[in-house]
Amino acid sequence: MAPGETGDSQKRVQKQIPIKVAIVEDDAGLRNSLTALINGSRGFRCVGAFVNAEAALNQIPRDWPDVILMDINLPKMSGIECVAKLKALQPSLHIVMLTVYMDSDLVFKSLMAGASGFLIKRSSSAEILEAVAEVHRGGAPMSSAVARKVVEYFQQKASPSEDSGLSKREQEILTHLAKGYRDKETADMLSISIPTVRTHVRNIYEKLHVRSRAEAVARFYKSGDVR
Amino acid sequence: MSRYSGVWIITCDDDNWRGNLYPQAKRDGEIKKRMNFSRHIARLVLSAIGLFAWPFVQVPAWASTPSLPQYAARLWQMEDGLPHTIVQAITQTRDGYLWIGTREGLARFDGQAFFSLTAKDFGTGLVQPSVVCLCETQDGTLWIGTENVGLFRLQEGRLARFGKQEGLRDAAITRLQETADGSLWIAARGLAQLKDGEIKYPFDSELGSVVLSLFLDHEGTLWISSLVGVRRLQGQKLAPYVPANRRSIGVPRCVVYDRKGTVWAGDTFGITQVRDGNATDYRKGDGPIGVVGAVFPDREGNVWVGAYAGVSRFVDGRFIAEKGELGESYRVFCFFQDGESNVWVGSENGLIRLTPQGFTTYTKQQGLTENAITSVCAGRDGGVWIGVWGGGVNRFLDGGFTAIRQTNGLASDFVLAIREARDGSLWVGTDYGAGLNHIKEGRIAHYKLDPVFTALLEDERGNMWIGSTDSLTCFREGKFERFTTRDGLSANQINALCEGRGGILWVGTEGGLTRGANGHFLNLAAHEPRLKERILSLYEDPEGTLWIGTRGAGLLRFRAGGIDTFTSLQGLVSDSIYAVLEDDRKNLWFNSSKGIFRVSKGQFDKAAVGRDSAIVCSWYGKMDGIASSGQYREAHMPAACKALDGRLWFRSTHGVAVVDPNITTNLVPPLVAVEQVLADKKTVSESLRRPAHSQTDSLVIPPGRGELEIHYTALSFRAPEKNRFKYKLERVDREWVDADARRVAYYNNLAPGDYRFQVIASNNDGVWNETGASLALVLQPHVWQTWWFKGLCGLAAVGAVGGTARFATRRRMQRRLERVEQEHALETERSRIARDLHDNLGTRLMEILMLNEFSLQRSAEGGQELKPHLEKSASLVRDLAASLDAIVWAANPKNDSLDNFILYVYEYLDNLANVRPVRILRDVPAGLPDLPLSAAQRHNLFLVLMEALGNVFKHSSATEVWFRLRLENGTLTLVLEDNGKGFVPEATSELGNGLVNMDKRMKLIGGSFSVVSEPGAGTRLCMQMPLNGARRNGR
Repeated sequence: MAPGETGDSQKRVQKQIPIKVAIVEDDAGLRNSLTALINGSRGFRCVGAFVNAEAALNQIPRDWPDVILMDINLPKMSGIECVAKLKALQPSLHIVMLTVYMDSDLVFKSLMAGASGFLIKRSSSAEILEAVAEVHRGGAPMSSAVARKVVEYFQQKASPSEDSGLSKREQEILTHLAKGYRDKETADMLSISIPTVRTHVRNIYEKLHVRSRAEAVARFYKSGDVR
Repeated sequence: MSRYSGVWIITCDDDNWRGNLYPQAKRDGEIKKRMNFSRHIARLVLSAIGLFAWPFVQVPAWASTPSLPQYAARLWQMEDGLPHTIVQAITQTRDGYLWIGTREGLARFDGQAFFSLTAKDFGTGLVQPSVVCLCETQDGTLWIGTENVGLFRLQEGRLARFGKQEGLRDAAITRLQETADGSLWIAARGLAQLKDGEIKYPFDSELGSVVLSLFLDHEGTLWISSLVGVRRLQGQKLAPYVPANRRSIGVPRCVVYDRKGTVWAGDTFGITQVRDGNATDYRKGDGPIGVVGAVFPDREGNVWVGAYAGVSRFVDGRFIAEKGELGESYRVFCFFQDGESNVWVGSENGLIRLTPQGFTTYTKQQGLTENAITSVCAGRDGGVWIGVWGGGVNRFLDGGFTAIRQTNGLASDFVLAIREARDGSLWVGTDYGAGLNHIKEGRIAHYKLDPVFTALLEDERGNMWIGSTDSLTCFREGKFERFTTRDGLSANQINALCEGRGGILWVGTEGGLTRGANGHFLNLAAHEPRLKERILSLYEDPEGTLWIGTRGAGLLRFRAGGIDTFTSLQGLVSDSIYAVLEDDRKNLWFNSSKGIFRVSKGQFDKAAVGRDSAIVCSWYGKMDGIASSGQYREAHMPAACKALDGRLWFRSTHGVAVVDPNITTNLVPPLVAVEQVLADKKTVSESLRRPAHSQTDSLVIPPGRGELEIHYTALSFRAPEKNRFKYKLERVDREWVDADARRVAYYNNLAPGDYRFQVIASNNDGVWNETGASLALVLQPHVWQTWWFKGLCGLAAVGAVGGTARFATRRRMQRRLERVEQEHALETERSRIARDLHDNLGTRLMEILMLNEFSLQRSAEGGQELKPHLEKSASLVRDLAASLDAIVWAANPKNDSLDNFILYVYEYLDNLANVRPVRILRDVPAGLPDLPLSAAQRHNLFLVLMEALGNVFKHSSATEVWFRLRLENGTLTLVLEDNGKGFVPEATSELGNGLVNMDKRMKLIGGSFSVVSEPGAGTRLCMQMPLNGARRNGR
């Protein structure tokens, strides 16, 4: 999964195919600034900017972008719900959440819904572009707070299926990240490469997503509320 | 067929208006006159006044039978909770519930769920009661007659057998009926009369022992059918019923007497109707098929017949079969009509509801010439004109259809737009260049205009306005005058015309709204971007508000106060509105791309100010009797109209759908009931089996955790899934809680005390019962929570002081409750502030930041001197954003927990580590209980931590910092350790000041602070604080 995408992304860079980015943000000013930033940067192209989740859900599936920048707080349907719906349609989609302040709860929920990263709204332009490029390369940043939540999530709930449990290596990496070690330190301590750490983190996100979905299904199944 | 004698010949020299020769002119003597046609004005000269005589074509005879009001069927079976498939008795009690008697038990039904009473509740051992009749008497008792285990009565939730001791002869009850004098008549081996608690059999000699049916007619007379014939109870005596031309109507299984004075008697071979003394038999062939077991005259005048082969309705001398939900037939046992005019059928296959459909659809079957309708227009004579694509003009009058077609002299059968003028004449725009027709006093005049007609309108001065896809034309005193964008129109394609008060002409175009007055046009779209939508329909209401239906942009409300937009985002069914109408009850009706829907006008007021922001639409479809919601062409008008009788007509691709808004709307407010109360997940009251309270008494709930679950329902049966609820627990909820369609309310952590729960509900059409139901609750305190416990202690200690203690405790309780309420309000306010800061300020700051960076990029290309300022400003904004972050975090009550505090510290540490050459590690056990941490606690803890970290970076030159957290014996300990150079605690005053400050802050929240440091051996700061809270509930 990851090597293939990395190859694809390298090819893009060689051929100068820009990364297609879509923006979902209800604030007009910020939406325009982000669009201008993306379009004004080499290697990026904004293929759509949407005012709300409903518009995004209507338009995005017609022409899938590579990466979506999604505001976490949208009017009516929330960004998190929108992520879940888009990921259900296109599981390989990369979504970066935009949030004004670090609300670990919301960020964690969006990761469970299938987002691959998040940005705080005081990030600089360079950080934004870097985050977009990073998730497009297949990377997945994880803060210590999120790592802690993931550890607790996998600990406290019995797995609905064996597949979504974490491997030993993944648990080690999570523990290190939760302690506050950075990717590089974690890689050094476990004698693996930084890209391997990132691949593992990505797999952890994937398992989180799969598991929360399985739980949702189990919940629907129990209550008979199958929609 | 038609008498042809002449034609209008119109010629002009304008290239835009070609095709001015009318082909039929050749048929008769033709005269042409040329005339001048200036740029905007076409003058027409009328040459010959010979016109088509106009005989309306009577369409075939069946056309004159108007379509019947239809009923939609819905079936409930055992899978839905019915105790048994065979339904033998149905009634509705005064509390609104339906009661369903089945072969194996009784069920109470609220439209959604069945509550069953079976052998266990009846106390009949293994024998399931087969309920065959039900009757609620004036005293509110429900009498339940079974064919195997006798008679029961249900009173205040208690079932009791009523049987032989009281004098009843048999346990096989067949019929029950109460009469006005308070007698309950019981058919059980003979006819028993229960009056004043006594049972008598007064008519044994006259009736014999077999009574087949009892029926109480609308005049209060009891009809009795027995093996000796039909009898009527008059006063205290029985009189035989003998129709004039017959000796008797035999021994019917059932006899009823309807409101029109007709007697219906069903028997083994069919049904007999006795009207004005004449008896007519409907047998095999023309009657209902098989044995007739039930006959039922409903309040609307329908007579329903239930036979072994299904339900039929008697209409105009014929029996029309009513099929079930899937088009099937059932053996019928009984009928019942509820308070909302639904007819309920008890059948061998389950319970069936027949709901009158509000809409009638007229199609070719009912006499239209074709099904594709382009326009409908109300006539001044009470009729309705219908423009038919390929079928000319149809007219509905006095229940039948007539037509004017090409064969009658219409220029073409392909009709686009129509409009009746004030003199009763009709203007018809036809397609394919066939021009405009004016049908007046039996003659048709043709005007050879080329364009595709979209809308026609006669203004109050008698000018005819003609909207088309390329212009607006005015026909005035025999002359045509053409207007385009050059005259001020918003666009040349006209879609809608509407006359406003004060002689204003509203013109809806593809490019927005234009206002016309005295021949001058003002392009409003140019002044107001919101009016620049593609307009499809216009309606000015009696208050002078203009309602504008657009294509794809929803509905606009334009009035003196301003413009409001309503779209599907607020709940509107469709954003493409073809017609707007208003009924007499201030409801707006829409024909749209998604069919017909209705919204009460008041809802738009609420939606416009943001209250109750969702617009609830009544949306009508096939279940309501509409054949199709398809629209042939969107731009031909009118797409709907209101006839003189108040009925609303809507065009579609499959005929016209007609509705009487008064019938469609269910005006019956629903009765509301509280069904079940659970405290700490255990049932404390169930309105049927365990009614621990009556309406007036309070429900007393034993001491517990203060969790409450209250189930309620509304007894409206038209479309129970569309019933809506609001509830409120006094002293907890300030406002009504909008529960939408949810039928249960949950509460947690309720303090002991008196409460009142109130619930109100609306029916499927949004008619609210504002009184609703209410229930008083008393949550009893635990012994240690009670004043009397404390009081007793007080008594034991100081005797007479007890009274004072009681007073004091009560006051304290009251104050505590008030405080809880205030805290609740405060929390809401804090949430709001946090959200506002987040949504508005945060997003703005990011925008500034990005602008700043653009400027920075530009400054690189020139203006280097700007760079430091811009960088400074960017850093300021970033600091501001960070402080905002902290404020939002502190304000939001969602974060009032240990968990969130830890996560926030983690994020903070991450950020520090990103900008400093230091490694910050955490040592925090996983799986800590999520304890509550008040805003003050976490705020102060965080500030102390921040200051401590600041000291570490400023003074210690540490490369590694450890943040440790422990929770032991209810004490929270935070430790910050570094490997820096350390210090002697009293040595530096600046450091000393900081330490004093930190100590002060910790004391504020009841904690303590200590430092251990030695030069060269790092520093260890320790913060401790007792946590007294219990586990946080319901996160």
